[in-house]
Amino acid sequence: MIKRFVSLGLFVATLACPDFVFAENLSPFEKAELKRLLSLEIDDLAEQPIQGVLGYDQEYWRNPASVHVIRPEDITEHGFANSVEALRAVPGMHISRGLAYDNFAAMRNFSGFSPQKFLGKIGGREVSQLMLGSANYSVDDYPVAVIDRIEIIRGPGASIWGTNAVNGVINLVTKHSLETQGDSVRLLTQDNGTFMGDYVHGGQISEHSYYRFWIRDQEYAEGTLNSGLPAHDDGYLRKAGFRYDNKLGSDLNFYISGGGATRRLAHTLDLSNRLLYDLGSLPNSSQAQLKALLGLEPTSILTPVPLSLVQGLLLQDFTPFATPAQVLALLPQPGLGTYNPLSWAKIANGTVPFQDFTAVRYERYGELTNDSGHIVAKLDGITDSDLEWSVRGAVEHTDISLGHIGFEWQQTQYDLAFDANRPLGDFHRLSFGLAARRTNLDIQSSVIEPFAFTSLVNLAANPLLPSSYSDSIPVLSYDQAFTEFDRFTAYLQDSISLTDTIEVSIGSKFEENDLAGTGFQPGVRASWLANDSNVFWAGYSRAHRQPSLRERYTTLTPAKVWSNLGGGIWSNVQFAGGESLDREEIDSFEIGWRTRPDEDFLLELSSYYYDTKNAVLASSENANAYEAKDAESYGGELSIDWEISKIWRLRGGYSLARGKVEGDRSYDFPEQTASLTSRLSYSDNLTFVQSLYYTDETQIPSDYNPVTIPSHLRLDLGIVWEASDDWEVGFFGRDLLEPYHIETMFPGIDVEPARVERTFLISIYKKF
Amino acid sequence: MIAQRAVLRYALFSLVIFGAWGLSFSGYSQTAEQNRKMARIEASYLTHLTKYIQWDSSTKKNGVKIIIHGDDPYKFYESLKYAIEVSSGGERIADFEIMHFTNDQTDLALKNIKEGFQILVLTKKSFLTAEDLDKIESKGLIVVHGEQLFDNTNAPIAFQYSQNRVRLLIDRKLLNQGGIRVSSKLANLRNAVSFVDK
Repeated sequence: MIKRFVSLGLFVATLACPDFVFAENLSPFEKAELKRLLSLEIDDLAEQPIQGVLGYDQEYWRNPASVHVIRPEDITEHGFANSVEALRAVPGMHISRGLAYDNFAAMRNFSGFSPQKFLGKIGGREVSQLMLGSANYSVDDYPVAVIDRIEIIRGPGASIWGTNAVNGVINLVTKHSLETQGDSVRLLTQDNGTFMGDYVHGGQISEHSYYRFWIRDQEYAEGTLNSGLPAHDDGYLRKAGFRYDNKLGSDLNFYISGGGATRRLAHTLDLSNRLLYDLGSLPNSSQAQLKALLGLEPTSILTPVPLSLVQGLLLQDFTPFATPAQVLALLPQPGLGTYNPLSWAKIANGTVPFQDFTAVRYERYGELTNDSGHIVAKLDGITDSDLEWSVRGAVEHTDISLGHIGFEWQQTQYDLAFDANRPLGDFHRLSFGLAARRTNLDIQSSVIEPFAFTSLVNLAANPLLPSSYSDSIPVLSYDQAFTEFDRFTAYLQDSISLTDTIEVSIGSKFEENDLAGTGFQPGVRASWLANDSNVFWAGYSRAHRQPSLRERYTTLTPAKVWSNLGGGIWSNVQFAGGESLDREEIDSFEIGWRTRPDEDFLLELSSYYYDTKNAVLASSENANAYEAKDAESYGGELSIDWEISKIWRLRGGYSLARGKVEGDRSYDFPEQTASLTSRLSYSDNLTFVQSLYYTDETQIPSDYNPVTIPSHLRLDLGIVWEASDDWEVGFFGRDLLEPYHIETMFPGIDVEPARVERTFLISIYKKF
Repeated sequence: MIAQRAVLRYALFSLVIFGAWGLSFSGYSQTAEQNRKMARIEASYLTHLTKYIQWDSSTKKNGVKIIIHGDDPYKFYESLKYAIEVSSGGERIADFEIMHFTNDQTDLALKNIKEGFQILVLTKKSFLTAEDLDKIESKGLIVVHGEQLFDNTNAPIAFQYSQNRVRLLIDRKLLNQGGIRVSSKLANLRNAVSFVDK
């Protein structure tokens, strides 16, 4: 595989690489860079470093990494409410919408679901929740008026970014308060009643100090499940935040920012398949009669089926083969004392198909709450010897409740970090840093109705042990011995101008982590300016990902099975987390080609091969919820940015991603995704935006209800009218090609996928 | 066996690091890429500055004459030409006459300077000295590189490189003496400009 990968790189290099001489005229890259510099305010020119740290300046054309930068207008011109939605157009990323307006982001790999394997940084904070190993990008989002840019760095960047930057980094950078002076308002409303509004105000306190505050309200209309039933996910998300910047001296800056959010939404938990009847526990004679009755082969194995299905069989007309009484004799029902059928009957809601039959559908609604607050403070400066440094501290508290399964946790995190870089001679720039993080957790599990009845802890492990009875098994429980985690990191990286055309960065991160152990994460990257319009780059990185707490310390009890053994007992179906799950270690090899035949056309091609040890995956073979396997993935991305004329710009992307787990193909990440966006300026104040997105089929793994998400094509159309320099009005149609499609679901404690429906919306935006 | 492979892998990695480190200290004389980047930023500064200056009616009519003097291996002249062209969609370039003279063409440059200019920019490699600048009688904006030339001449503006950034040094008094009227917005800039009284 590596040989094939390198051969591809050499082939591409050979095609596009004549002998290089620096031209006297500006190269297309230099022209494009000048255009970018001219788009900056004059004050911002003073922020442009001359000698860069490879990996910091994402827009530098010789950056040896696959990078995509999203600007605020990429959000407003498409009518996106949350900035994460704009990531749909990033090659190599898979953005999917699930229930309760949650958008999930995955990158490049066989990690199609919530344990995301990239680092999320928003406003200077690492936003990943240790419990689920993922972030909620809706809750942690900012009003677009305060967003400077979102950098998406694909591929491991461990030496600077550290743990969890396994597949890449998403870094949302907010603006200095000086850039948000005055008032800004943005209102968005959808045809189904979903609404978002935010307001930002900024002002000046003294000659060198500025502030802003903002508020935001999102009101969600109720969606629809794939089955057509109501999703009960209406609710709200309300947020507020502030930032204060002060220039303490000519070379000393300080800012403090903070924010809080409260969200209330409901989740629907499908219980239809959570009360099962073990047909295999029936006497052999009954099994044989049942197989004959159902038309099954005598040698077939009867597996657990929904209890409601068995109860339904009593009402089925099997004449002339059997009467209800005969079926009842074959299938003795659980006694009324062993569970409460009435509590299940209360939540019965229609029927669901089960193979050739129909079963009663049971649903439980629970409130999903998310309350959070954070404060970040940063002091940065530069000394006369060009040492650029910063000290950052952050405190964050989150309280999340998954009401539908009775699981709640409070997470408090304290961060302290020091970063610096300085030149070392003419050709080196050394960057280094130290960071410490403490996380405290308080976790509560409760047994929810209708699961509160006596059952064996684990039939498989203790089939007939009365001592293992329990009547208080929550759906998700946590090992309370693990509630405090520390992480210490240090890194050192050198960016080297090896020659005028070759730049190299070499570095390593050292980490001592309660969850990921002790280790080095080295990386080396290089870029080569082959000629005026071609840059080649390559990189090797080793990165670690810490298992999420859910993967390690939770036990999932998603279902109970009635067994006819010993007169009839209930037992729990359990999947324990793996305390012994080690950190994931990924060796990544990347190559890329960036070409700019002229300043208006950019084409980028990147290719990667990942070799992952201990990849944590949903278990399919044993009683553990997760298991560690060796995996490999490979693929590439192609992106173009073409300014065809002054009024028309096209941007497109294509991604191919393949994953293998111990040799077997994995399909939880779409093999192919593509996007094409056209921006046509009809006049100075009227812009048409058209976007087409394609996502291949994916398979969401689940121990209980695996789902295939069909491939889908999405067409969005928009028209943006700039009524004045400050005011912008947009009309948008989304998912116009079909009434609805599905994009994702929660595995394990799964909920039926929600429909992503065709919508129309209007936005009004008053800019600063 | 696994341990041996791990040791080998880290040994190879270390070799690459130290090899690259060693190579990087040898052979190359200038960080040309950094100089070119500075030239692009300076060109962007100057393009912005032309918008801050309130030109008199004669200049508006006849166009802004910008003279660049000095050898220019880092493409400042090309950058400025392109930046001004782009800054207003290609139309504004007609309002500018941008001339470049190398050090070998100093006599020709001085002749053109004598005939009048709106902006004179000395590149980093310009041979013109403080004495040469003192002899210039034509009114116009002189932009130099570095604090030394700025302190010792009547140039009201200099590009200053320090702390890995490029900023502007401006002497407002000299600017006014030169008959240049600059928008008051320039005084409100937070980072880009240091105002100095020479």
